[in-house]
Amino acid sequence: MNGPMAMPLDETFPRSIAARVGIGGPVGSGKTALIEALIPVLQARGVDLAVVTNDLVTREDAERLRRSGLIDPLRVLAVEAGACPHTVIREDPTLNMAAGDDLELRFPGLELILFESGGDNLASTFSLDLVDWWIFVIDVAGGDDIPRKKGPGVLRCDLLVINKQDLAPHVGVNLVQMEADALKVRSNRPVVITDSRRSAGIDAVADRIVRAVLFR
Amino acid sequence: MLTLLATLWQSDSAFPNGAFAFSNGIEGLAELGERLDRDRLAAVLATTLTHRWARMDAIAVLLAFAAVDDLAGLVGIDSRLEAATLPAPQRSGSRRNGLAFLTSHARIGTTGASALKVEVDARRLHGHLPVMQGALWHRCGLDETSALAASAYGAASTMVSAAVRLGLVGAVDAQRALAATLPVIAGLIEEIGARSPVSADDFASMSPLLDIATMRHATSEVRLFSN
Repeated sequence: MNGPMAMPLDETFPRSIAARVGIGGPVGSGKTALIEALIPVLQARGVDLAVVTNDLVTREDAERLRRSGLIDPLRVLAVEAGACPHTVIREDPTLNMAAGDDLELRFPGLELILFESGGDNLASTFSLDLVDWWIFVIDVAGGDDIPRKKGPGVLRCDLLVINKQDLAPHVGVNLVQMEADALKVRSNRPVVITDSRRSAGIDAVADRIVRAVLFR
Repeated sequence: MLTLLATLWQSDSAFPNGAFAFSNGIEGLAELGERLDRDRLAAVLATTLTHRWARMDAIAVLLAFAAVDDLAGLVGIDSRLEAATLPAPQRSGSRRNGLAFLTSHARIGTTGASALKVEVDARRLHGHLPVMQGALWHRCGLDETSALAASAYGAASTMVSAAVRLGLVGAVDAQRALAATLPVIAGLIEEIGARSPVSADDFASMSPLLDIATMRHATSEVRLFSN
């Protein structure tokens, strides 16, 4: 039977230049604060970086970073999530991929792009089409049972960050047990405890990023 | 059979093309107080398809489909579409959606997609969605009629999906509105076939309420969609 041939594929498709790291987690867990704390630490290590935010309703996270004075505002792009914070980083990451490509074009020498998710629940995960490696951020104020709920974000991320360690005594959380539970459900894959606002634990997060995707 | 399958593939909402982030005026209409129940949504879809899609997108898809091997021709169609799309949020939405669609095809390895992305990255091509669709769907094995159908169905389903996510209409009711739109799409494609050949001189649009809604939406502080 004559008919159209299967579509030939071009194997020389473009590949990302800069390493791409995702930062996801529930709303209010401290993703933007973590990025604010990471930027000066990574810059001090000579890492050329940029950020893409996925704000759910506004551009608040992008504007917060642009006005922070920590990074050239042109190095911060915002992508709307169309009410679908999971979709924009997992099922259809093309808008984020295009934003990353745009940053690479505008800033030759760019080594690292951080993609901040719009924030949602424990089920969000990043597509490996979009990122090379990803962090999931939870916080002690969300309850010490979060690791035991075994959400895909907690289980599958490359690094789990438990933020706001300073609040643990005020919200009745046994942080030692929370960390042990997290390590247990993750089969001892990495967990870092942080207090992003006071930069506690940030060097450890930066160490993990630099080692995992920049091979330093 | 491959043409049909390629059309299904490219029309599937699971195909990553960035469309989910665009309401193409639906969120703006809701902000204006429009009560978009099933019947009103169906009416908005029919208006959009008849007075915008059939006179702009459809023509651009057909012209780009024919110009798939002619970069200068694609640049010309793309530039004319840019100039003919008056509301800025529609222009930027079409460009951004077109770039996401193109990015996906470039990563998949669709023939010619990487070369087009180089042109868009170099700002020699705006990369409007219908232009990218016409050129790349030709490469994917769609025929002209299938490309028009996929374009129209995508335009309608994107708006319907936005209405559901905004809570304006239920997911089932929304499908009734979409089903009511299918004969409209079929009629428009027949009509376009009857008046071929078309040219960029035929670009026209008359959807003032949607245009105003889209422009007002662009300055809204709180929004879920890009346009």
